[in-house]
Amino acid sequence: MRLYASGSTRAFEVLYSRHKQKLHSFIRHQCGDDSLAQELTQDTWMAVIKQAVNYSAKAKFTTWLYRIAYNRLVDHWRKFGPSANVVTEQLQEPFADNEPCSDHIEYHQILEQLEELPREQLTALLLSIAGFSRNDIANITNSKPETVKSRLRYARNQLKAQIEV
Amino acid sequence: MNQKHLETLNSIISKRPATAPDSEIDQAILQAAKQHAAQRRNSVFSTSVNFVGHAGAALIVTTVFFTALAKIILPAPSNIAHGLDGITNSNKLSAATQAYSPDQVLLELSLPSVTDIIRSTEFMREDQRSAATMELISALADINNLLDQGELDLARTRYLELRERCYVCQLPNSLEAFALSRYKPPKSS
Repeated sequence: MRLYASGSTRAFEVLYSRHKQKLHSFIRHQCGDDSLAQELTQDTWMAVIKQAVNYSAKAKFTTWLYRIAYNRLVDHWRKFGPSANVVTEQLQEPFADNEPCSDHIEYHQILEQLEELPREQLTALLLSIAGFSRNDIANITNSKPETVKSRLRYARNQLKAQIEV
Repeated sequence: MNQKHLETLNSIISKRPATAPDSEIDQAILQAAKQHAAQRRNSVFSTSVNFVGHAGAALIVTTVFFTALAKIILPAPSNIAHGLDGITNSNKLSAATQAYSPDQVLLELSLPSVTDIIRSTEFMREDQRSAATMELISALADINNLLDQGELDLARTRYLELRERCYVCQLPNSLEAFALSRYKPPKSS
């Protein structure tokens, strides 16, 4: 990022290709429709480009990037109200035909339950799945690590309870 | 929900991400990044020009003053040719370094190959040559990979490690100098 801030376009291309897919997934899983997710993804990267000179290497680049994306999502929810989570729709389709049917049903149940989770818990869970630590998630969502810990615990317990019913 | 479910969920979400951004969006983002980078370079350049302008004026005044003072105090220089050589060399160096910043040197120029280095090195013994070749093959592969990933500092560190390990290769003291050693500036007409 420092290289891009000093004018190297190639450094940005490397960063973009490394993170574009995962970032888009993170946004898409919490957005009502694909065009909106595309728009928010574009907004996020444009903000990265504009704020590159202000980037300080105190936090990891990914934490900074996802924080910008999360802020874009929150702005959108504030303006237009919460949009439906679309975890099932996004993840159900690509199931390969050769996967066992029972697994398919089981996973479908999990994904349906994911959609029912409160927004903060789903965000924390998706970030945790993306490999962020509790402190990173706290930084991205502007909350305390203890809060993140309890959100993750509630999310997992709720999923577990629903599946065991 | 047990550990197996969680692991499966992790694998589903990480291996099967949602749709990717449109290629049009890709293009728009990369284009915007290029434009901003160019603007930043231009603004740095104009700042430098302003600075050079002020610094240049101050330098000229100082030079005129000290030249006049030297004419009064010192005898005439006896070896003008030596002084001219120095100026020519420094001009050559500045022509090469003005074209690229240190980071750009690493990102834009390709490094000398193992064959180039071995060919330009004199070895006392054959075993030195083969040991150096092995060392160079491994190190240059690492360095080129790191440069491709944009990890310039790690590439510099790996180069310094190579330089220490392969002392017979007599490599330049920095990765930038190593990259520039193969660089041939375009001939001026």
